[in-house]
Amino acid sequence: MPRFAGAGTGTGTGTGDAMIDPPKVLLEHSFLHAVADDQHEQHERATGEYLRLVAEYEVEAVLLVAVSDHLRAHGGFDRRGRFAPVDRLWVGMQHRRAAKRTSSGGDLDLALTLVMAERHRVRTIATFDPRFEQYQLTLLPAPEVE
Amino acid sequence: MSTTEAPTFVPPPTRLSLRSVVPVDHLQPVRLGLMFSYLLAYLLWLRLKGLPIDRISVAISVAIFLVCAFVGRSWRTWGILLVDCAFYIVMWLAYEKTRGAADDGFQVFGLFQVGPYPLQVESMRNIDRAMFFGHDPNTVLQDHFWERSVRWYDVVASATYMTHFVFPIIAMAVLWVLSHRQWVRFMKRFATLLGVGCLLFVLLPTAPPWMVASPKYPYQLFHELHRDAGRGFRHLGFKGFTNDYKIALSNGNGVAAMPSLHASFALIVPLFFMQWIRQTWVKVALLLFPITMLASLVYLGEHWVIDGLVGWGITVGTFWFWNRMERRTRVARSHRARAALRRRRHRHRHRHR
Repeated sequence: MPRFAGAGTGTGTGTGDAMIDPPKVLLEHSFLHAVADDQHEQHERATGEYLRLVAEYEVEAVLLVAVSDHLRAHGGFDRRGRFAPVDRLWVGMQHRRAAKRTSSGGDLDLALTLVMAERHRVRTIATFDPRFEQYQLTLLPAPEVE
Repeated sequence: MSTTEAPTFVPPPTRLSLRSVVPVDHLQPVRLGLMFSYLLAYLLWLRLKGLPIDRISVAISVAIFLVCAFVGRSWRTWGILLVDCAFYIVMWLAYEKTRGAADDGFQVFGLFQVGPYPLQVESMRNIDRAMFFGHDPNTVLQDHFWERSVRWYDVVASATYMTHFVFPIIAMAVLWVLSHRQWVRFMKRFATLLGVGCLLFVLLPTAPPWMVASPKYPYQLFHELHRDAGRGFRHLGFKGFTNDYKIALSNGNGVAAMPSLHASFALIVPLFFMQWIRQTWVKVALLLFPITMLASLVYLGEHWVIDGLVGWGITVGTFWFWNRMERRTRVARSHRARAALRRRRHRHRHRHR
């Protein structure tokens, strides 16, 4: 299945580039979980990708963001832990209301991620959830070469 | 293939745009409409009543713009905005108070007195004369160019001088609306610049050129200078200034020439926005603005050349300092993340052995 790699290099495309911040990469719930859980089957791959993104963050080529609900579930907003470079996208009531009205097959968590991505002009998402492949988003990590 | 196999996810042939699935923010056009209307009203006010230059009027102008820009945003966003506004107000009040107290000195928590320090009357003039081979730039410019009738360069000088009162504030408001992150970055530099400026106002009270030339003061280092920074602006048909609230914050300090905040503010805005500009000629054109500002300040008798150069030096220094600090913060966070991941890997391997 095609994944759309390449935008994580900091030269990404989309409306986000028109803004004055570096392109944002949203670390989705499944990705955060894979980085945080040593037993996760994708842990090594997720960690490798995350370290690559951290290196890009370090030179200000990208900003790393995560939905506050998801980040809270993986160690909160600790600036000393493994997600120290990740900024939270705060979820307000208006975002939850918009998520309820989003057509995402009834999955509120997915809908919330889409709402936050749209409102914050995110065009690149690090995820292991295949459902994101149906949207016009650049997905990370890149597919493994067989 | 077995019919009992779990269904595999088949993506649709064309990928959906986020805009097509996420509900539209209906208040976005309302916000844009309000901001545009406000801009028109502001320009109309500027034409009919004059340019508001005192801190309170400018703060009110920005506040109305921000209300237009934040209509329908979350309560949390409004909360952040209020905190930002509080910081902004405290910053300006501290600036006004320090600036006002500079020539008399002030008490630190009633414990000890700071200043007053001796007024610099001739030192800055001497530096200017050393830089310009024995000439006074202020008198040279006025002797050559100041005429009874308003000339085109009077208009340029006057309009450039006026931008000081609105230019940085407009930059702040625009950044506030576009990116809070960039607003914070700008404000760090701006507040540092103001802080260092205030410190120098206290440590080095300096009489400006118009003062040392005025017969109202006992110095008269050279012949009297014309002092009318607004005449070119009025020549364009504008009313000049609206200054109604000035009495409320009348902490103005006549001997706060060093450093020139006019010159500093004229540099901080182009310098900050330059990071998004690729074309060299646009960058050069932007840098002409602070140069025009300094030339105008000297021509109008408001500042010595050295005041402007020190102002620029402080501005460049604040950028150097905060660029370095921001890089250090990014590197520190990255190191923490790597270290945390290494620790977990190490523990994981240890457990498996």
